[in-house]
Amino acid sequence: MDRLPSNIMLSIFSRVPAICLARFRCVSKEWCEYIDDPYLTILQDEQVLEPIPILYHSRLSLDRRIHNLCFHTIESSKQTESGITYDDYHTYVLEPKEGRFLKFLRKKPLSEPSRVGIRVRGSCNGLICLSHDEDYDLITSLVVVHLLRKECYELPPLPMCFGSSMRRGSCGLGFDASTNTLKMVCVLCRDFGPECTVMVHEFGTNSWREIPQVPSYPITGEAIFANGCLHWLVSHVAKDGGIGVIWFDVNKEEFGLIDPPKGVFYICSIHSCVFFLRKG
Amino acid sequence: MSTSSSSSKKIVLKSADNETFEIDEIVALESQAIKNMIEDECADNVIPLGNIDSKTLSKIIEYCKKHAESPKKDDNADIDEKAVEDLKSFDAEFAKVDMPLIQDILMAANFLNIDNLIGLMCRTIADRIKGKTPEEIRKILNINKNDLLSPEQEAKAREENSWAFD
Repeated sequence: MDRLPSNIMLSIFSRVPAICLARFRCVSKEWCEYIDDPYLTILQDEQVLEPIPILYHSRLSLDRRIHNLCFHTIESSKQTESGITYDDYHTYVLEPKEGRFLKFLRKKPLSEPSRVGIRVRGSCNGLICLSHDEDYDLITSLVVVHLLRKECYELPPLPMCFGSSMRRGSCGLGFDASTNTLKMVCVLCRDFGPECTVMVHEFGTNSWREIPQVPSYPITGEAIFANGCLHWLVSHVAKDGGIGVIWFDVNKEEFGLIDPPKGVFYICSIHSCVFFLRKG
Repeated sequence: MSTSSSSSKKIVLKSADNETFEIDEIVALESQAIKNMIEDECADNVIPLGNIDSKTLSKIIEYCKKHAESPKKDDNADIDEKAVEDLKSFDAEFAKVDMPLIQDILMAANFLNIDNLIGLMCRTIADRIKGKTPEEIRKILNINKNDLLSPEQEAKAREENSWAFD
């Protein structure tokens, strides 16, 4: 097996379910490297070996202690005798376990509404960042989920030394290609007033650090990652009706401002470009 | 060189142990590497394959013959289902060989660039290692003992991936 070239090894691993790959990390150092190779995720994506979760919603038990994330998946289209195809809907539930890995369990979705908000806070390189919010604006805990590999990474808790007035927060997940590190950026703003605090967490470390740079305007909402920078819409509208875009260079950890065209109300990312959407 | 009674062009492949195999050109064209050689007109009458032994080469020719004879998917949208099933069962039978030979075929198919065969062999290995424990895999695939994780590293890997061991 040692003599097989890497393209063949990755091709073999791409045909093995995620649960087996997790076990195979123990086989040898070489196997560990193959399994942790980011290119494997791309190959797995092509093989569509396992159903890929497409939706989530949260569950809360009555004692408010057990939180579940549910992922719906469209399993496979089946051909019926009449020739009509239908989709088979299944649900996977992520249950927190010891350590940073979560196990997907197949379960029926529960129908009662949840009381803990689980919100998507950003996505980057196949990872989705979710937050557990006790309150709409207050981010209490953050987890990053790798859907294809069914792994979960829990970020250290944000230091809550700002008092109750630091409520509104926006997070963004970005990738620094020059150092191969993922960074989570959290901008905490005061309820009233323009002051912000910016906290950065580098994946692999166990803490947050405050950086001296702050955005020139308060920001809220979803961050869009493209071209090495996170982008947010500025939360206030300028006199001419335009809304600025704040960018944050994930490598240099610097903020900047783009003046967008007039009437922009939404930004999105397609193929690493930031697009401005205009009303009408 | 004059060809015998057959009208189709012949190609001769020579294995590492100097055994020669005369095959129809159409069979040889299953290999993208040989196809390129023929198109670039750099193939002599005999193509030496110094890194493939005769046992492996005869298996590969068996595979290419069958696949060259079968109707191609893109030729005709509604090829008969029977041919597809027939090819599937051929592939399943073909893959019933021991692990060292699978790896030899895989190496050779990679060298000759035969996409379908690479896919079949990778799938076969994947199916054989699925659901196996790390110990079983080391045995099946004869993993180099010098590449094993240290007991501490293995304990850590097991702990981090404990959900997969339940």
